[in-house]
Formats: sequence, structure tokens, C-alpha cells
Amino acid sequence: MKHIRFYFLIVVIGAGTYLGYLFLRENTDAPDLTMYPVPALKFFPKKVNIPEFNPLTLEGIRLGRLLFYDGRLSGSEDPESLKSCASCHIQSKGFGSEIKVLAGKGYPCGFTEKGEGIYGKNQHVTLPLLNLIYNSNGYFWNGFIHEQNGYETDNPELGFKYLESIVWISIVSEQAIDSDVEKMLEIIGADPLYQSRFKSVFGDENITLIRIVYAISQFIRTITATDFKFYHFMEGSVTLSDSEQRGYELFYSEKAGCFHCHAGSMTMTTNQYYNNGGGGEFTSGCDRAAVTLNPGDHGAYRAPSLINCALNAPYMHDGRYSTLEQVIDFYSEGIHNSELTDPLIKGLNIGGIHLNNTEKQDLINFLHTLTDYALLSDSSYACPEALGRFGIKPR
Amino acid sequence: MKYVNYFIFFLILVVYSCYTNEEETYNGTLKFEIDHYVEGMPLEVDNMIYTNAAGNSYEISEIQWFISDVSLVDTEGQIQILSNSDWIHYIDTDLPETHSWTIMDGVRPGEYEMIKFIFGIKGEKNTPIMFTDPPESNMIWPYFMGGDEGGYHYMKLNGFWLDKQSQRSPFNFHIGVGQIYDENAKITGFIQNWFEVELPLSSFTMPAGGSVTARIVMNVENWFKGPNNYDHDLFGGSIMANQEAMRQIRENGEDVFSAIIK
Repeated sequence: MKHIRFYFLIVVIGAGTYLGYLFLRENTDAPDLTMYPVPALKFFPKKVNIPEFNPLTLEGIRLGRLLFYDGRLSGSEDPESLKSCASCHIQSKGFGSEIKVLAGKGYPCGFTEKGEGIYGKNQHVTLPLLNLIYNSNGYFWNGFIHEQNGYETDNPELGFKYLESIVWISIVSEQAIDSDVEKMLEIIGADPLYQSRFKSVFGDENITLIRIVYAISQFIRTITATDFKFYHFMEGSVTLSDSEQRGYELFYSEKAGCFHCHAGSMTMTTNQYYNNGGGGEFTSGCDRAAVTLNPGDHGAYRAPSLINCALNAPYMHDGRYSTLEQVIDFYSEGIHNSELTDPLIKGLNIGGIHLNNTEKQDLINFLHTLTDYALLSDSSYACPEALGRFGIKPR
Repeated sequence: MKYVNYFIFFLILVVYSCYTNEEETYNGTLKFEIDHYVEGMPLEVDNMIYTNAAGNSYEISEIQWFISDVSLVDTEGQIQILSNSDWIHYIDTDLPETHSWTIMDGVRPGEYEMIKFIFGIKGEKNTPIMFTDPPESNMIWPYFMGGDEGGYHYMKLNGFWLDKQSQRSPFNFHIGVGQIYDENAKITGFIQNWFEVELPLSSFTMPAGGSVTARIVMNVENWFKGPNNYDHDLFGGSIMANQEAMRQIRENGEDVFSAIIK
């Protein structure tokens, strides 16, 4: 009897939902959109980070890709002033940046002390726009952008909660695109390239900053790196070289213990925050403690994904290392013990894990198996030809 | 107007569908709550205030572990499994939302002698990369160290102890599938270290349509004693490749858990 009622309830709710759909379809100008099918990949998270207010649609993603590369986001058509997301997030770098910091102007890192705003004095390395759809544990090195963030902002619609917030920050802030928003909307609005596209995504031709932000965010969520040698090794379709195999076993061993922070699923990160023994006085104000307000989190930063790490120098939140070799040397001989270092860091009392040269090279060779070369030239992520001279092309 | 009529009809159907009768509320609701205690007091993390049976001063940073296959034993010795055969629950001292769960309308009324569960995950269910979403996915156990039946840690208990030189040293008290090594340090086989826990003093009566709360307490200090005095100075900070350490933990684990029925 109980089950009959349950199934009856399901049927009734289904019928009600369909009626609601019919009603909405008949009484609104909502565009007919094609939902983007998020690929279901073995070993990658099933849970994806797509906010209800900005679902992924093929039309929205196409529009977002145009805007991502459109240098006129700066609010100017002057060739010298063109600037867009693609100015820093370069496809051939796995949508990371070769820029260590945004010179001299600081970088939004979640500085939460009153009077300082979000643009702290400390400069951080640009994180790649990669596999963000699989991350539900905050953005930036310290996770400052997260859904529970109640920090006041002049953009109350988005706050500092979503990927959309970052896109908005990046367009308006002088540390990034530094757009003259009014002019930008005027220029974009006058281009026939966009008018029909905005209508197809949003139901009318009205072009606003928030719509631009939504479309770009949709495109960014589709940037995924899932086609690399180690993935295929785990699938069983390729083998690793002897050195890569040794590096893999070292990576996942108790001696090095890299996997405790940089594995989990095939995203090669736990997306958690750790003090990795980098030393210093932990006074940056942009670390994890700035978000949690827990003094025990000073000096802790996100464990970044290691996918495409071979392309994403410089390394660490402050870009202190310019090669993977230097990073491995740090974990081998450069660990600083402190009261706040995470207990998962190996060799804490002896300065590191003390690898020999062969082990170091093995580890580096393994890290190279995490490079998704196909992404770097995938035409579906490239600058659209339709943008002509306004498109930000690879340097 | 036709949609208004449809809507009213829909509302009536929903109200009718949601109506329940006595038969449906016959079973009881069992809520589980998890606590972590040290020497009778709630766990205080990141504070070097504890001493284990081997005399090591220690502190705990976090505990992350799996409980699975929770079942009830009735007065006739019959076992009632409370959830699906693949049921596994993750618990994390840093994530309060993992500290409780409820078996809704799933427990027959009557007398129960005992609550039982598996600490960790049985080998046949511990499939590599079965969890792809965090936080469970972060419990991954390396494939070459666990094989096809050793996909995940049973527990990660991280912290620090004062070593012989009075240095604050990290320990990763991690337990999962152990390995058998040959003389060349090659792995030749695996050893399952999960174990069944029969919770003492966990008898209770489930009233028809009623609810019972069972608090499961992990008494953390017991991981380090009885029958083995676990010595961090002996085993060091990392033990995933040390079956002897994990064997001692497994044996000590049998009296780690207690229950309080409310």
C-alpha cells in the first residue's frame, strides 16, 4: 500500500511539473535553449558546480566563448587597449597564465580586513581556468570566493560567492581587464555579431554586464582537461615508461605522500587547503585564515590541481619557483617545520623527504603524464574567427 | 483559466497522496550520531594535551573514517541490515554534517540486543575509484598498495606527537589494506584490516512508529592501547606500508567504540 501511494505521488508530481512547464512555455518569452550535456567521465567527479541561476546551454557557451576572447571587453576598440579574459588565461598554457603576478597592483586574493577591500597588498599567481566545474570548495588560493561568503560588495547580485563573481571582478577591476563598462556595453551592443546571440540566450537583445558575466562563466565551466596519459593509464589503455611508473609509485607512496593532497579523484587535487611547510611568517593576510578566521589556518593555501602543471609555472601561491625541478627540490630538502605545517607533509623534522636524483626525475616524468596536450589546440576552445581583429589571439 | 483548474486538481491530488495512515508509520526511525572522545571528554583538536598508553604526548588534527554495513541483532539473534548492501558512510571531525544520519521508517518495532557495524569497508565493496566526489574520494588508498579490494583508507587520523628528541613530529595514523612484501620489498599480496564492531550496551526497544537515537562514540585513546600499546616512536609517522602497525591498530580497535541509546 505504501509503495502504491509512493508511485502515485511520483506520477502526480510528474504531471504537475509538466503542466507547469506548459504554462511557462505559453506565457513567457523564454528562449528555446539546448542544455549542455556535461560529459560523464570515468574517475572524474559526478558532482558538478553549476549554479541553478546559470545553467549551461550550448547557446550560452558559444556566446561566452566569443566574449571570453573579445578584446573589446576593455571598453575600447583601440588595438593597443584590447583586453579580455584570454589576455591572461592562455589556451596554449592550459588556460593558465605565464604572468607571475599582475605587476605592481596586487591581485584579488580575499583580503578581508576592513578598509582593504578584496585587493590585498600581496600578489598571487593566476590559477588556471581548468576543471572548475568539478570544484565545489571555493575559488582562489584561499577559497575566498565561496557560496557562504557574506562579505559586502557593490555587486549584491553575485557577492563573492560564485565563479560568476570572479568573472565580474575580473572585468571591472583595475587589476585585471579594468573595463570602462558603459563604453564596453555600447560597443558590444552595436555589433551585429552579438545582438541575435544575446536574444537566443536571454530572450531579448538587451546586453548587460551581468549577462556577459553569465555567458563567460558558462564557457569557463566547459574548459576541462581530462585527456592525459595518466588518465589513460588508469583506464588501462596505455602503459607508463619505467621512469614514469616509478614516479607514479613514489607519488602515491608514504615516502613522498603527494597523493594525500593532490589526488582524490582524477582531478589531481583534493581542493583542500594546507600549510605545506613553505615557511615565512604567515603575515600575508591572504591565506586560508583570512577566510576561516582560524589562526591555525595561517600559511595554508589551496592544493592546486596538478593537471597541466608542467605548463603552469611559476609555482606555489606566490610564484616562488619557476620550474618543477625547484618544486621537487623544495619538498625534498626545503621543508620548514612550524607549528602550523600540516601533518600530511612528510619529512617535517628533517627538512623534507630527501629524494635522490633518479627519484626526482621519476617524479617529474610522472608529472608530465598529467599534461592534456589535446586541450592546448582544441579548436572548440580557441579564439573564434568571427571576432576578427578584436579577438585576443595566442601570443 | 484552464490552467487554474488544472492547478487546483493537482493540489488535491498532492494532498491526497501525502496522506499517511497508521500502517505506514508502523516502523520506527533510528537516528545515529557520532562523537569523538578522548578519556571521557569531547576531542579537542590541535592541542598537545593527550598522552597515550605508551607514554607519547600527542595531539590530533582531524579524524576521517568510514563506517559501513550497520545492522541490528534482535533477541532471537536475527540480523536486520539497516541499509542497502553497498551502504558506506563517511565521517569527518571537520564536517559536522557527517556526524549524524537517520534510517527513516526502516526499523521494525521490537527488542534489539545489539548494534553492529563494519569499521572501514569490506574488501569486496572497497573498489578502487568507486568514489569520485569529495570528501569520500579524498580517502583514496593507492591501487598498488591495496589492489582491487583496497580502494580507500578506512581511517585517516592525523596529528603530532613528541618524539624521543622531544620534537613535535607528524603522524598519519592511516589504516586500510595492508601489504605482504617479499625480501626485495615487492608486494606479493594484501591483507584486509577492516573489522566488525559489536557495540556494547547497545540494546534498545523500538516502539511502533517511534524513534530512537543511538550515539556511537569513538574513544580515541583506545586506538593506542589494549591489547597493544601503540608506540609512535616505534612505528614513526607513516604506516600505510607497515602491516604490523595496522595489525595492532585493528586489534586495538575492537573496544574503541561505545554506544549511548536515547
